Formats: sequence, C-alpha cells, structure tokens
Amino acid sequence: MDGFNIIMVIAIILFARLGVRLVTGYIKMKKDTKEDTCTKDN
Amino acid sequence: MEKNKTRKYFKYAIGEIILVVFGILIALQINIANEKRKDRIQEITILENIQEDILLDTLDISFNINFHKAFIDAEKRLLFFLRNNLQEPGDPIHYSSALGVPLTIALHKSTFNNLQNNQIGIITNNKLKKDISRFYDFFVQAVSKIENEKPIYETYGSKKVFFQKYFKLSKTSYEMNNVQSNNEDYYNPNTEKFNMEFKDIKGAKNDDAFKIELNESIFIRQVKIDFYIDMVNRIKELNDAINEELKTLKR
Repeated sequence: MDGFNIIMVIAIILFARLGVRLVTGYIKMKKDTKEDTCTKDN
Repeated sequence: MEKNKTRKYFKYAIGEIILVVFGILIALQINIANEKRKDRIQEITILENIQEDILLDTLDISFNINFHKAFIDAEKRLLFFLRNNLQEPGDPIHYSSALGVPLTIALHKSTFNNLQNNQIGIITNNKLKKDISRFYDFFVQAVSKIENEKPIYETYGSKKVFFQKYFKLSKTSYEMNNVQSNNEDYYNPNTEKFNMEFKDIKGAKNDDAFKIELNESIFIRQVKIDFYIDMVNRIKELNDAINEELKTLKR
C-alpha cells in the first residue's frame, strides 16, 4: 500500500503539535506584552 | 521590551522546528534501516529458494542424461552393426533402448517467475541478478524447447516405423529402473518393457533410411546430452555464486 506510512503519521503529528505550540506561544507572548504595557501605564 | 520578547519567541520557534525536523529525520532513518533489514531477509529467502529450485532441477536433468546416454549407446551399437558385414552383433545390443522413449523435462521456475513479476530489484548483487536472469531466460528456455516443444528433435516417432518393420517383441522383458530412486523429491518410474529382437536383419542392413534416421538420432541426442551437461555445470556455478552471496548477506 502506498498510502500513509508510519513516518508520514509521525511527521503529521509532530508538525500539528509544533503548530499548536507555536500559536499558543505567540498568543501568550502577545498577552504578556499587553499586560506589561498595562502595568507600565498604571 | 516587546522587540526582546519577539526575538525570544522566534528563537524558541526555531528551536521547536529544528527539534521536530530532527525527530522526523531520526524516524526516517530508523524506517529505512528497518526496510533494508526486511529486504535483506526477503533476498536471502528468494536466493535460498532459487538455489533449492536449481538443485532440484539437477535431479531431473540427471534423469534425462542417464536415459539419453543409455539410448545413444544402444543406437551407436545398432548403427555400427547395421553398417558392417557381421551376421550377429559382436556385443549384445539393447534394441528397446535403441528405440528409446520420448523424454520431457520440467524445470522449477516458480521462484524466478515470482521474482520477475514483483521484485527483481530485491537482489542487490547486479552480476548475480544478471546470471540468474540469463540462466532462466536463455538456458532453461532453450533446454525446455529442445526437449519438449520441438518434435523435430524427438526421433522416437520416426525410428519406431523402422523398428516395427525389422523387429519383433522377444519373450524377455526388462525393467526401466530409475537410477536415483532413493530420492523423495523425485519421480521414480519403475516400469517394464519387453525386449526386442531382429525379425529381418538383412532388410534392416539394406535400409539406408533406417541408418540415416539412427545417425540423426545419435547426433541430436549427443547435442541434448552436451546441452544438459553444460546446464549442470552452469547450475554448479550459479549455486556457488548464490552461496557466496548468501554468506555476504548473512554476515
């Protein structure tokens, strides 16, 4: 069968996990920056 | 401050990406190594099967060689007797053997056919691959055609007419024993046939067509014997080459 092999499955899982981590990391960074700005203004 | 955080985030992102790529590369390497190991096991099995096939073929070839040798010996004696002035043959001649029986050959080709249809590339040694292909594509084909498919090489039918004319059945019979009857993988015929004796020696001695037919039969049979012997030598060489390759693969 030329469909999905084990390497393909591992790659998809790792890249999906990477995407989630990068997006959540980015959101967290934005949130922290916003909080820092608010604290400075106060 | 924000610039510093963004830079930190990008460093983290690149680190994550590198880790993922490394993870995939390692998994890929493990997968390739595993595939190679499986291919090697399959290659060993295929080579062992081919080796078994060609060694079994030698049994069938030896069977035919032995019969051809017995037949050609009787044919030569008969032709010699027909061509000289003796009233009785000096040495006893086995006339039934001089007539012979039609022989066939069935060689084992299933492993090679399977290999050819699916995965000829699995054999890594290119020279061995070529030798195996040549053995089956040329030698096996040629010997099968000569022995089985070309009626012109089978002189039994044309000789039988003369034997019916100049010979009669004698009271004694002989057993056509197989010389390798102790082998289980082997067809072990054990049949009986009546001997023959001359009915008309003078007629046979004066019949040039009979002598020509015998001469042709001797020539064709000699060609077949030589071909078979050549094939046995090639099987031996191929068997040695496969043994060498198996040693390398199992190391």
